[in-house]
Amino acid sequence: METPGIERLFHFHRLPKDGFLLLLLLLYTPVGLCLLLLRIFIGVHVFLVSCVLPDSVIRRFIVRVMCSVLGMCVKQNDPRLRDRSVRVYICNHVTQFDHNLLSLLTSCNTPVLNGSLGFVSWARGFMELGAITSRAALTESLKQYCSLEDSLPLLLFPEEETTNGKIGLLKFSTWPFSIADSLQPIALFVRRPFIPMCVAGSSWISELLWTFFLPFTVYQVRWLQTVCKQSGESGEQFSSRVQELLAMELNVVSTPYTSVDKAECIKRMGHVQPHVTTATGTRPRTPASGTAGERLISQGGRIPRMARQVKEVLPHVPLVIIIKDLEKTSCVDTTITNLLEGRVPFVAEDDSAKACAAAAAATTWRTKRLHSAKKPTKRPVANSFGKSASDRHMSLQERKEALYEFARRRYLEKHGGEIQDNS
Amino acid sequence: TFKMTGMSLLQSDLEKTELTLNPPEGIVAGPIDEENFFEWEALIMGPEDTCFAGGVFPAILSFPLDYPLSPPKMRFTCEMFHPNIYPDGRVCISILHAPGDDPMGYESSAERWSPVQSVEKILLSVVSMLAEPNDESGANVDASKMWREDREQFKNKAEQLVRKSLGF
Repeated sequence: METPGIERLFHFHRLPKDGFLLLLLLLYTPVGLCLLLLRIFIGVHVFLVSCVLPDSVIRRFIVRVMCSVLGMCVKQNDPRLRDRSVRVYICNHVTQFDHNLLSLLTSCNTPVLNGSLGFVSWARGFMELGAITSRAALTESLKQYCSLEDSLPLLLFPEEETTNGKIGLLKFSTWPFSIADSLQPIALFVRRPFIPMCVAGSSWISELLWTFFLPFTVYQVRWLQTVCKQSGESGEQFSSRVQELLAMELNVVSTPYTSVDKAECIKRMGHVQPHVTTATGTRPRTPASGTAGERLISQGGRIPRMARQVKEVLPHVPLVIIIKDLEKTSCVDTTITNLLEGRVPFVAEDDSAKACAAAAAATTWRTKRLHSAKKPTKRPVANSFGKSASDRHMSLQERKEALYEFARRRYLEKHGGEIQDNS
Repeated sequence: TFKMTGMSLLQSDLEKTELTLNPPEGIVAGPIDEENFFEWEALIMGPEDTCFAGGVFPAILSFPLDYPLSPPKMRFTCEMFHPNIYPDGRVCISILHAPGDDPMGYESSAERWSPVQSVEKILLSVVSMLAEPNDESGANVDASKMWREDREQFKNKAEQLVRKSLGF
């Protein structure tokens, strides 16, 4: 099947485009606002009840009923299909509350992936494993957790990010598949009237408020057959096998996009439509404003003032470079001399400014670099420094790919014959 | 305020790395997430005419909150076999240690971490470490031993890793 465009995997607009639906939503709004208010109060109680009661069937039943009052209903295809022996459940990720709802069906824990530890992640029902810096460390501590006798099973979302659940799955991370050899996939369908499930880039608070506002949201859980890792199968192969299984069950495509691509896609869409989420009252995802230097300079102080003076004389030099040099020299004149004489490497910020004589330094520096490169045409060099943070980030991805491509080509040129011989 | 200094330094470090360390040097580096400048990803290409020539090795650089007072930590995320790289990928070179701590006790003369060092310097040091392992280090004892005693086998092993890193 053809891979769909990444934008199709997420919702970017909260409100329906269809005029009729919009009208219905408008008519519903007074009711929705009442529900929202009421449910905020009930929600506090649900939270307190779920904190007070110990984890048991009774608690799950009570909280499940209370959650349906809040508009979040959970259904499952057949509770007997749940595998009690399995240590890891793998589920597709649709909303920020998937783990809460699933834990109403069976006791399970979900570790915090990103975001801060502390009260918020605890209140949202995540399991904390201390400060985890990398996925490898996380995997290790999860393995340890699983090896404990009476620990609850883990519920993991290998996509790491939410999708709209209708078009495709994000590429599964491999770390959840190295924790246990057998795991049970769960297909999660979420339905609700009027508005989409989870708008890309919005916070969990706003998602929660929208859930309260709408009459109901149905979480349909389908337990799949337990999958075991075959001998000789790598984590990668295992994860893609499970991904295919889940994609088939959900009737979507498995895509090669990752959570990083999602973040980039959100940033890109932010450039096109800076007001994606303003209607919902959440923090709008505008592109990062200004460069680091511009942010620094607005803070006032001695160095920024001097930097501004240098910038007036040499408008094409990036502020960050100026500031860094000023921190060393503390003298406007010395810094200007340094920059003019090319003692400090930089790339001119504005192409039009390069024409001016003051850019001579940058030009000589660039020529020097071209000379030092042996085969300049073959080398994938990023042409200019991305001005905004997201441009720069994309260019990191591109540069990574370029380096790999360059290295592979180079290697084949050198060893092409041997590789064919070996394979 | 420490965090701010670290941030702005890392931002200018990023610009510098991107400017000076493009593929001719075989290094690509930058923050994994624009929101968090304290965690970088780097790709390092094995230098020409060395055991690791041509391979592309991914690594993670984690900067402490008091950067540049304390050095960052660097860890290769791919399989590595090198005297100065621990089996779990951590890199053990002098520039990543503050003058006070000397886990190996052999680096007294070598260049240490100080706030005037930069990401660029670290990455270049790692490249030269790939080119010329320091066999006194015990970060990976097996690798040190093989490097000293059976250079041919070490070369084969490195060649395998190079291929693996390129997906061949």
